[in-house]
Amino acid sequence: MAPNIAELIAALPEDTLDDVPQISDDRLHAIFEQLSTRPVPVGSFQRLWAIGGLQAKLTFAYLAYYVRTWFHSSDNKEQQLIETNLRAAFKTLQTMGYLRGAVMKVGQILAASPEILPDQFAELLEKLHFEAPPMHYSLLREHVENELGDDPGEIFDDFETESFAAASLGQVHRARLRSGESVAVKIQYPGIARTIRTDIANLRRLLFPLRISKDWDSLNAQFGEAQAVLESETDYEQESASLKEARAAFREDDGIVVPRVYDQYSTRRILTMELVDGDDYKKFLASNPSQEVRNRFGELILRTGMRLYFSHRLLYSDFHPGNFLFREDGRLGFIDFGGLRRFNDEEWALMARDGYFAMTTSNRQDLLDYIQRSLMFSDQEMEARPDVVGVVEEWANYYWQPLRFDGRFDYGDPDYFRLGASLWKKAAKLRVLRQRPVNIFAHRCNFELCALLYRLRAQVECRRIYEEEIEALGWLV
Amino acid sequence: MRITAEAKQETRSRILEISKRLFRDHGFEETTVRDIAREVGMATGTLFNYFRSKEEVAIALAEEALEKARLQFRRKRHQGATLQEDLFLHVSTQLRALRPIRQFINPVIESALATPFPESGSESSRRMRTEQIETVSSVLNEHTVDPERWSMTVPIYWSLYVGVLAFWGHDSSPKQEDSLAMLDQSINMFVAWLETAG
Repeated sequence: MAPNIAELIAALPEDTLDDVPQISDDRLHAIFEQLSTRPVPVGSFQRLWAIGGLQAKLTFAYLAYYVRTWFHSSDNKEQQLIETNLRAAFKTLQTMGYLRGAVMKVGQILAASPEILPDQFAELLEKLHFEAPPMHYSLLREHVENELGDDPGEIFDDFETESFAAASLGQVHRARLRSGESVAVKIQYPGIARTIRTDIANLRRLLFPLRISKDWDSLNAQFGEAQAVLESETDYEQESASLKEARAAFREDDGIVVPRVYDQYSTRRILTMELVDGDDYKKFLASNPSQEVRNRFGELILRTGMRLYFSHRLLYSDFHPGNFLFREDGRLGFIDFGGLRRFNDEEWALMARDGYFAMTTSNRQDLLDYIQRSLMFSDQEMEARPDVVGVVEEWANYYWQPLRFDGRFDYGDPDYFRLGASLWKKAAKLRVLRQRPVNIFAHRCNFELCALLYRLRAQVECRRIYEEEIEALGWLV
Repeated sequence: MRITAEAKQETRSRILEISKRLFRDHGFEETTVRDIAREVGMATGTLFNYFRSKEEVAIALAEEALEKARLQFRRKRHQGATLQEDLFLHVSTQLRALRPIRQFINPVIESALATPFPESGSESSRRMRTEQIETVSSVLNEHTVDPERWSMTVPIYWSLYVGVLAFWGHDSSPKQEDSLAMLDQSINMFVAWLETAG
């Protein structure tokens, strides 16, 4: 017989990373500081031996926290969260190697469940996005030969053996085709995609005892959703199809550059695309750009999301700053398409079309009716849960605030950003996102976009862009 | 009538070729020495003049493949490679060359590669192990790894090497990509050990 919830919680150890010595807050802080400024260690003999167990421990540490927060409301919750994150991050960095992609992805999934909004972990992940330890050339060339049938030195006119960018699942190399074009060759670490699938399957299995809870169906559906998105991120053939669709979505005068794909040199594990110039966001921000330039790039970023959303029914759920390049010619390079999710007809009708009409009506009851459908609430539930309805209404108005604003909306306003974070936490506590799997991705998309524009301190004419993008749909009245 | 060395070599090659096909099509376990002799068109007793068992045939096939791998390894080595890269290349070229006989790599491991010690087993298995250890030894020397530690290093290297081979023999992942990851991890572990031991 499956254990009940109380038994399950009792069975979870307080400190699942029990081989990590207990450390004080100051020490944790110092470790974090230290980790943020040094390169990722590639590990020693002992660390490498421990790699197999690490994944399970990390997963378990997060899971323990995740489950506990559902049923506990202790005062030291925040403290416990920070400790869990830092210890997990510490362990991750210590042993980051073959499993780095898998560990990061699992971390991200749990991080997307906002009970745990691990800022510290997210910052570390972001760092790793750029600085993960590379595959060496001997491994690369063998992998490339398996995938493309020949040594990279034979296939390409020139192939840089050092990568110029690292991703959670692989790394990117500059090369030149025999026909002369400069390309970026994105190479996935061998076997990582299947490792991720196994991680998710294991996580689901671990969560199985929760099936008796009322949230099981939605939790299970969300895991299915997360699995689908992660699998799409690890399948470069799918990413290649998304790249082509996105490339066709932007016109020359949009100022958005999406690289061309070279099919002949691409497989499920290798993606060869046109090399797009530009600075990453750190270099861009370090150059102290003018407000005007920040605004321009902010608008271009917003436009990428809206164009894909409204013209192609695609949700871009990965507004990671590393996915964009800031070019000297003022155009935005948009280079990573692993995180695209296509709406089905029902989702599209509800989220985009009906959402638009609900938000633009002056009748509040229309909005409440829309919220009821979105939450899949009965009339009784609408009556019984004013807290949930209230948060969703507040949240909807939050995201619509820039769209209703005449002129440039200041995404750099810390109050606006903080309000979003607190609404997310509030919504998470009430578990309002659980009804529809797509919700969590839609909100991740919105929130990451806000976070990116906040970092850029961009002031954006949101409403104008929005109206331009939906014009073709004939919704404007 | 005397059989020339050349004719003997030709027959030997034919036996190997036919055995490879039989092992591949019918499985190593299911194929008998008698099957091989029949297919080659010789008496079983005559075949024993060339190979004493089907395991020896498999070992000879592996030896041929490893010889090719050695040439590939020399050809593909590049300037400025790290110790990890050189060791990885050494094994990965072997895996590539051994690919046509992957299905029956296990009997080769069991009868020829189970231990690193050159004194045991048949002549060709001794040769294989000696070549292997000499190559790794020379790579380590080139990367200025202290030869004093060699006696400890061999068993450690060997267990990782045989572990990778055995894993690869059973690897059902597409294009055996898991074996590349496994090899990468094993080499990293080995080099990290050399560094920490130093």
